[in-house]
Amino acid sequence: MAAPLSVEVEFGGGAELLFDGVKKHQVTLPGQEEPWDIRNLLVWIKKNLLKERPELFIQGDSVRPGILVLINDADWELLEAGWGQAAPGRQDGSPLLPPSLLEVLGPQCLQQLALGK
Amino acid sequence: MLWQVLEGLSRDSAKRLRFVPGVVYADEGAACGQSPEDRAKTLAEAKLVLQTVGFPWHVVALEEVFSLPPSVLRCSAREPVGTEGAYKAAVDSFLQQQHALGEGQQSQPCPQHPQTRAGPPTAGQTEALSRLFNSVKTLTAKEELLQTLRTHLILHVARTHGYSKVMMGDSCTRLAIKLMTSLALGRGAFLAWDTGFSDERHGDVVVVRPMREHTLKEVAFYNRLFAVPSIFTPAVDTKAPEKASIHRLMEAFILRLQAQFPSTVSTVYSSSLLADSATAFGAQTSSQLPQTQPPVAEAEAPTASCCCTGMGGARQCCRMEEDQDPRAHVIEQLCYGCRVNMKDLPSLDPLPPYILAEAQLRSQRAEAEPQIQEYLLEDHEDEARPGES
Repeated sequence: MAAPLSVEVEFGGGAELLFDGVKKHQVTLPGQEEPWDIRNLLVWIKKNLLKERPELFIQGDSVRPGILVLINDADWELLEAGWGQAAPGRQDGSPLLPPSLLEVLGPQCLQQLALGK
Repeated sequence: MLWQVLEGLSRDSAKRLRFVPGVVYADEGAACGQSPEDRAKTLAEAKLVLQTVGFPWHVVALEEVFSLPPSVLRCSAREPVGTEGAYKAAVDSFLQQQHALGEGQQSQPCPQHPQTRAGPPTAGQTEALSRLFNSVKTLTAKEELLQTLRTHLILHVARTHGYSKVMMGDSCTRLAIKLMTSLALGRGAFLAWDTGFSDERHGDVVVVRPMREHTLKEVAFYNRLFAVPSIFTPAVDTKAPEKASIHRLMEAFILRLQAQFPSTVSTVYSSSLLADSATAFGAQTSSQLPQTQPPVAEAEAPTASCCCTGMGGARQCCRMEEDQDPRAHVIEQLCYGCRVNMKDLPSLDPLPPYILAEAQLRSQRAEAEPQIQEYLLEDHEDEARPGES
């Protein structure tokens, strides 16, 4: 049984367009049977925060290729262990701290500026 | 990229960069269907960032392509003429001010710097641009047209203000996508210039891509970790479905493949390095269109400004036949990729005047050349031909 969890979700790089242009969302995830992990959170975001065009955000049970997900400034792809489970290599088996910040960056994250001289 | 240049120019950096940069912001809101209010808002955000950075900055609206001179399409001499004195004076003034400001004050904006905005575009120009982009049938052609117009505009700004190089922020991922898209669009001949480190087609202004070795992910992480301020502006293909254009399709393809095979982007990037040497030769030999018989003096011009389109000003030029198709005169000036794009443009009238004028000029020259060929001096000739004044 997972307790309710408070998470700050931040969208950038164009991803905010799918969420009414709102970049920062402070959300409280309700308590549920299974522990919260990123995939559950993405489904929750799709159901509760996403305003339009789900196919531009989610593909299958993950984000669309090109979208980066950062958990507490760490790349999701590098975090092999699930959220709330023991990370590999940790000696004491203590769970990872629940993430306080989740960021979703769209692929358009370059400024349209050019330099000269 | 802007932040990296700022870092590189700071006094703390180990190998300090030795050039004086400016920044160009191209406002493409009209082509992307943004409302004037949204455009103004984005512009205000951009100005804030530009002022924070402290370099001379120039804001240009895409509508200004309607007042570009035809010379923007010509491959100019290496040294930009007419701006030497002003450029040197500006650089000296900048360096003196840097010195005067002292340590740790480098990023202060200097009021004497040219921070130009040529006034907001007129409603007529905005309407003309919207008409042009609305008349294009496919998103692919729109994106290509937008890229071409943007390049010409930035080139013009660079030449006007005496910049010898233009740095574009294309990442490895973006260039890999661009490479594959160019192949699909029939622009394989120009791969070396379109995706390589430097593009010297324009002569006096060299376009360089210093970020081409960084992936999009690295750039995103850098921006995040170093709190680089960023501005997001919707593009022509924002929120478009995956199959809306070849660009979108290729982007989805590459990114999806990259998710499964993380070496995809780097492999395509390596291929682009091979393209640097391999395709340059191919481009030069294929640039000679069958209709243009003897090589013209500015032989590189058709490839350098491949999107030079123009309508035949048949009524203005006595040499042109009355029954010739003006569109054909335009099309014959284009490379293969641009010809394919032009199929999606039902009428050439909405195109900016500089394109039409230059195409007409080249078309007339091509027609006149055979008649005066025997009087022309070749570059390798040491003595004047008899009969030449």
